[in-house]
Amino acid sequence: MNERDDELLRRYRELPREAPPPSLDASILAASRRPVRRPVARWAAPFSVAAVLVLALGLVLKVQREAPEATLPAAPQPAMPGTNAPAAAAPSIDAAKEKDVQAPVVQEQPVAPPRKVEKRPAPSRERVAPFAPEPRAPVAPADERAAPATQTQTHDVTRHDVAPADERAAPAADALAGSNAAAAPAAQPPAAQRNAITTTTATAPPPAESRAQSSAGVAAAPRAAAKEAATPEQRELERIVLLRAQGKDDEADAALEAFRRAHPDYRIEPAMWEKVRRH
Amino acid sequence: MSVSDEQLMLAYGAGDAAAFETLYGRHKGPLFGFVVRSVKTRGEAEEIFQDVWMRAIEARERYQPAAKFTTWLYTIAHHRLIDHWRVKGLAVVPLDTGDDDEGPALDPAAGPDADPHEIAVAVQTRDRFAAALAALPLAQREAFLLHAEGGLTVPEIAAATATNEEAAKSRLRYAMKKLREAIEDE
Repeated sequence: MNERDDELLRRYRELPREAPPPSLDASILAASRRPVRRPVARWAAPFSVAAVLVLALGLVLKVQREAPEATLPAAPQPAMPGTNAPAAAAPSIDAAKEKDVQAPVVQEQPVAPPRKVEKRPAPSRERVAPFAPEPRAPVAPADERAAPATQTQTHDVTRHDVAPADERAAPAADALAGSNAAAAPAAQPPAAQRNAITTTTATAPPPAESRAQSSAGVAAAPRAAAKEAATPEQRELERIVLLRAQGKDDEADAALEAFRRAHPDYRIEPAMWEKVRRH
Repeated sequence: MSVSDEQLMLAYGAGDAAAFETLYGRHKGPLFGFVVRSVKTRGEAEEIFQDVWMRAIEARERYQPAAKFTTWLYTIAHHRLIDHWRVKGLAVVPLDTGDDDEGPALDPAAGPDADPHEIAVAVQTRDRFAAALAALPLAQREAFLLHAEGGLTVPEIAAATATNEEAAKSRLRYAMKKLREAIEDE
């Protein structure tokens, strides 16, 4: 820095000086006395959004999972032993509207045919629920003959051992047509046991109550059975039963055919099959 | 012996509000002069001036005396001005000479008994200087103002403007050369 530069700086300082207005001074000084404002962490906003999304998704899934229970009636009808009881006995909301014509269906207590789980050629969609142990139904030889030997036979027997009572999948209709009559006597549980199971199912509380009473030791089997009563397939089958009861066999046949096309993998419970098929 | 700027800022970061008032009193004039000669209007200058101090206030707990306080403060001002110039399309802005209604201010060097001719010459020289300063390219004007108002050295100017020392030195040299030519061209 030389003298010429100093002269230049002196010239500059001779320029009129500008100063901030007093109001601005006061504003800045007031701000300086405020406590430190903690900056929000960068991850706070994304984390909050993610947490809300996860909670919302969980809530939606929970509601969807519990929705079928909410549609169940307050008092399920007595279940038939050895069958998918709710499908035959517990009316859905739609069925409740037609209860005047459904009544005879519920009272109809066909003899339960043997459970022919082993004959299922494609058991991929079978569901096994671990509840309501039922006296093991011996497999009739007729069933063995009626069903083609498949790679699922061993697996099915094992599953039958584990939870036969809740085996929702019924034998295929084709197999049932030829084998039910022969297999029924052998597979039918004792009457006393059937009554016991029926009583248990009939006294099962509605889903909401059952949830409340689950901690008090109420058996989970009736609750689960009631839960399954609301499946769309069972509702369709009940409708076909109603058509049969009303003597509309042609409509029932058409509905049954449509059902078979719509649900090729669904195995109709033997007791239900007895109701829906043309006699 | 007065407390240094860095000590005052550290004290303010520790909760001493009075330390900030001292700092503000020391630097508000030069900083405002730097800002007001870097933008077009006084309103813009006040807004930028307030933002610079607000940023300094918000950063009080993070302040580390790695450099002079003035370098740190004028670095904040430089960044704020860069934002302002970007919004304005980096236009070269003329110097805001204040309210035109007030007329030319008296030359400080000219006393009440000064010769009217001398006063007129001084005013003309000052006006030429102000005009030359306003006509400088942004980078050169900023370098000169950082040196003249903030007292920053070439390395400090380089640090405050995020450039190297050669560039800062060149900008400052060109700025002073043009200003010198303006006041010597009589």
